[in-house]
Amino acid sequence: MRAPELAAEMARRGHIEAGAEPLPFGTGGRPWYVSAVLGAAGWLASLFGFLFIAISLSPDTPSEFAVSGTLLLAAGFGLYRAAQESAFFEQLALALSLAGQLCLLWAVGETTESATAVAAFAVLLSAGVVSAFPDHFIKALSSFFASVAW
Amino acid sequence: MNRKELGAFAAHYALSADAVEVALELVDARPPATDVRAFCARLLQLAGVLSLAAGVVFFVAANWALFGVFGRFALVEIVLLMAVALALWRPPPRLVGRYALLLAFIVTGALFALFGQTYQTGADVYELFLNWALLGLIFVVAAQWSVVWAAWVLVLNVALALYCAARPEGGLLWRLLAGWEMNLSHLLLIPLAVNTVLWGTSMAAEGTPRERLAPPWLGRFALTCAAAYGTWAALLVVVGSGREGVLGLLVPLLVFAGVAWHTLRRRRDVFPLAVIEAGLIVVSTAWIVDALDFDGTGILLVVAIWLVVSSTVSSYYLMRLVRAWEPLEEGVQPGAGEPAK
Repeated sequence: MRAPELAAEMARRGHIEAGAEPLPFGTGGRPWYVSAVLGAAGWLASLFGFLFIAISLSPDTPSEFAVSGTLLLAAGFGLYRAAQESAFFEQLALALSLAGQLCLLWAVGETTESATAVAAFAVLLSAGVVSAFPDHFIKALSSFFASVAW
Repeated sequence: MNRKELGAFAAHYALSADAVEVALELVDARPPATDVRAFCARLLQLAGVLSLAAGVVFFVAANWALFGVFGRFALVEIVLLMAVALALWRPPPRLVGRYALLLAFIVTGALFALFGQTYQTGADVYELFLNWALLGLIFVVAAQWSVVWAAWVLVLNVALALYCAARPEGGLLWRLLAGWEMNLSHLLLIPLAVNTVLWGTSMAAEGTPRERLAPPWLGRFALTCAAAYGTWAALLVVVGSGREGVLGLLVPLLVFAGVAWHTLRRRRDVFPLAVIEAGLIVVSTAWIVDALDFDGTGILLVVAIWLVVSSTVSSYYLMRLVRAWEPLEEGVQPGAGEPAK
């Protein structure tokens, strides 16, 4: 059953007002393949962004990486909050937040020199992103990263 | 209606908890226990068939030293014969027959691998997959089931990819192409053509009784493979040193344009355009890296920005089409569901 048919039946049963404005088309969200294109491009963009920061700003110490990562993550979070309806800023926010996560993981790796610690921090970081970020897509991506790290 | 649509529906009409229950009931979002049991049973049956096929392979491999040549072949061939006998006893479209033929198709591959391993025929790996695809075709046709067709398309693509990647001098494909001076980008046009034809076949079957053999998801799979080969060929030309020839770029672009034209004309499924756009993003990114004379740091930023911009524009365009074609699929005039200005 499609949305217009459901709305008609619900109106017949008295759960929706008869003259209610119909549900706009395209409310089912992005199809998975559009998300896949966006996700793959965003992930690659974040990798290039991370390399750009690593080379141009040359953060040497773990604390510099941590500061860069925190700033990028905060910028991504801010963009998501500010422009949830814009595909461009959403994609930019995805790239920034992923690059930020990479910087933070690098910082933890440099500090601890332990793959286990990096994986454990990745799980925590992903859990934080899932709970804090408003976007479904980055939640799904972070859940995937968390399961890989686990 | 999917989960997101139902959520949007409930939010749009501000449904009460009782009304949400009614909506869930009307769209069959909560299947009855009998449906759930039937789904689980089919899932477990399919998992059982795949486990059995994998079990045969692993059993022979793990006990390689314990079995003689006769024992190894006997084991695999007995399973193959039993599967065929089962399919003859309960022929497709019965489920038992279909599962048996899926098992027979997978075990055929195991038999070829065993043959090659035992007698060290010197055959290339691609030949194993190509022979598997050709000789297993009889089981695929007999099964009358899209799942077995998907397995066949996968095996065929593995054969083609192995041939293109390794370019061995032997086997059926080599004999067919030996007289042609083909570089890799030209060679990749063959799997591009094969998969495009498979996609076209799936399109042609839509709305006919053959659709259950080649459903849209199978066509999407073939088109994804076609786009991957086309992108690979175009990449070689774009980042190559001019030896690959322009045909490896032109033909994929023409195929992409043809697929896009057909998709825009049909106005039903946006997926082909998404696949093409993904391929174009990859090729254009490689061209930027290759052509622009930036220093090492600058190019990283340019590529990052290009990826964000190109994927955003692509998704914006695709979502516009999704929203525009959704009402057409539902038989509603465009604009009828638009919110009042």
